[in-house]
Amino acid sequence: MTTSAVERGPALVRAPAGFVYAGLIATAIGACALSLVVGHGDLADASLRDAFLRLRAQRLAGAFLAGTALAVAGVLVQGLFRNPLASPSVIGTSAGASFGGRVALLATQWALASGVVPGLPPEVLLPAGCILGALGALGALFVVAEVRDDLVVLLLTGFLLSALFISLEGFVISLAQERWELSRAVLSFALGDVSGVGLRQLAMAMPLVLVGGALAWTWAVPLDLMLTGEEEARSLGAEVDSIRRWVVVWIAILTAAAVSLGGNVGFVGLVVPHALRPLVGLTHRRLIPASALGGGIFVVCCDVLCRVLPGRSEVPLGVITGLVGAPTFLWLLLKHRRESYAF
Amino acid sequence: MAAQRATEWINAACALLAVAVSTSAALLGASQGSARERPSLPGAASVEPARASDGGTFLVDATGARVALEPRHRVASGSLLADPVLLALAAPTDIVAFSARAPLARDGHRYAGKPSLDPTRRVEQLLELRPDLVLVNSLGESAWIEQLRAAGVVVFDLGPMWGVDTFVRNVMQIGWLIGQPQAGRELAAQFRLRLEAIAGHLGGGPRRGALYLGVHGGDLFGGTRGSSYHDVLTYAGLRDVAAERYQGWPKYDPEALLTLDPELVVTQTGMRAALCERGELGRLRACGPEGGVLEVDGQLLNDAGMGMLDAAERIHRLAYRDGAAR
Repeated sequence: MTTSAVERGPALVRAPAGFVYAGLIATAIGACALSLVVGHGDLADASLRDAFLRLRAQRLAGAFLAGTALAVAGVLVQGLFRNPLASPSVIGTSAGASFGGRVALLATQWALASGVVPGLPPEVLLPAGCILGALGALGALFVVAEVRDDLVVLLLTGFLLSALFISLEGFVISLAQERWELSRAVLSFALGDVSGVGLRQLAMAMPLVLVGGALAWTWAVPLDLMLTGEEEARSLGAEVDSIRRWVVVWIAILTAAAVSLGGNVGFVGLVVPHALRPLVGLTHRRLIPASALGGGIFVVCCDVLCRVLPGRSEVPLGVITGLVGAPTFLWLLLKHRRESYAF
Repeated sequence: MAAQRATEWINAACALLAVAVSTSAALLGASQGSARERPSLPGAASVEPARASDGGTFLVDATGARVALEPRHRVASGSLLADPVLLALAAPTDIVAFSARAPLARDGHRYAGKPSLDPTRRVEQLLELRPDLVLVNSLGESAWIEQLRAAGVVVFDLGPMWGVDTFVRNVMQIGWLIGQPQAGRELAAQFRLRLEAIAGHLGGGPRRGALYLGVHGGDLFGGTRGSSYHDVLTYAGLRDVAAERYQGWPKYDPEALLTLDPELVVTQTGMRAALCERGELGRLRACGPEGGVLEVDGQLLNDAGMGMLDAAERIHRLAYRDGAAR
């Protein structure tokens, strides 16, 4: 594929990028407004309106940031591996973040009971655990990459790390089963949820998402070159090793932020870039910002659905993103196949 | 080459900056939370309130947060354990809501006429009730408690539910919080006395060996030392055979169960067949003529609060008076 083909994108591009961005921004504003308006409380109650809006704004920010992080990470991972079916979980950092979060849940109970860490707010331990877990996975990935720096080895190491962390998660879950209340907390984390996002979690995740998103965009042109294949990219002057290293770092940081905000929220990194490629083309300079908006919109809308679906309690966010994401992804896949869409 | 090196440096600096800012946010959160104290979890000496520097009194909850003792007239319960205690100790007009599971309880009719809601997922509805105290068992999920506190609500986390000791402790804490400390103490003492009376006639004599077991799909879950199941078995006059090797809510494999081989198995209604008709587990003494599988209503057995009393009485009757019901 030539650079001009990348610029032009697939045959499905029908609208100028400006229109697509305007549409995404308008949809984002609409989704955010909806998220602020929809809730269990009544905004007509003047004495509680501020409190309700504050809670919804924090939840909205959490959902948007998590969606943005996952969608941008999805674009990066798909560009790096030249595979539209790749999701941010393939490099193992999602599983690392998830494992770190579960360990943090266990550690919170222990720290509270023993008073070992007096004054440490327990709600900070969970996101901190996620970030540490993802960074740990990233470290392991780099240790292997030092021995043999190759995209396939990176991919396989990612799969192995995912399998390892999932096994370790299983061990943590088995420990949590010894305490009923802990097993409930671990299960809740696995289902994905942004309803409990507060200012501290936002303050921890926001720098990771903002810096990660911005720096991801600076790798857009090199990633376009990578779409032509590693050898071709190298011949065009791309520093393939450097691209690979830093793109993996930003994928790890973005997924860590997303998991620390919403737990396991699936399908965002897979569906959103897929849905937007036909509209904005394959070029990463357009796809990354469009996916940042699209991911945010997708998760915010799913979170609104969580609130409006009837039930004694809310349907978990991870369930909704899966229920919406899986059929959407299948539809996109079939549609693109019919229209000869190729990555 | 120089441009490449600059890119590497910029990325490294930005990555470090992002992680550093994120870590600072966590540490800032830690310093803001420094007013918290070591929580009053089981093992602490007392549930008596402490005196603050301004002369007021306060209790410390399971998250280490101080809750001032002052008149409360709009109490909401987000805890299944606190529901019956509030009914027993507080004036009905002082209760604004019960927990989401209150209508599903065995005695759900007693909670009619008041809203029941899940404080973890219905924060806004809870705020609309304008509670001046919310009682919860956070069960390890603390972010939503912070949300409520940030919205100005006084939240008392009763902490984990580990059986009679934690429940009795919770009863006394609720008594203090709603301004009825004496009533709370009496209710707690009565509860314990009635529990102790159930198997009092056995004295120091031999007790039948038993084990709690839940059969879910292919899994065998227990409940022993450090759980309400263990306390219920013990107060019912039984010897928990799992307590020496296990604690909490262990998951057994069939071999472990055959090794423990209790004389009695306490389980939920309908589970005897799932246990005794499952291959080698039919060899358990409890499934044979000299043992027994005591089936008790699941809601009663799973109640880690007031229901422990009824559960212990029922199990004692099944184990010692009705013979080993099989």
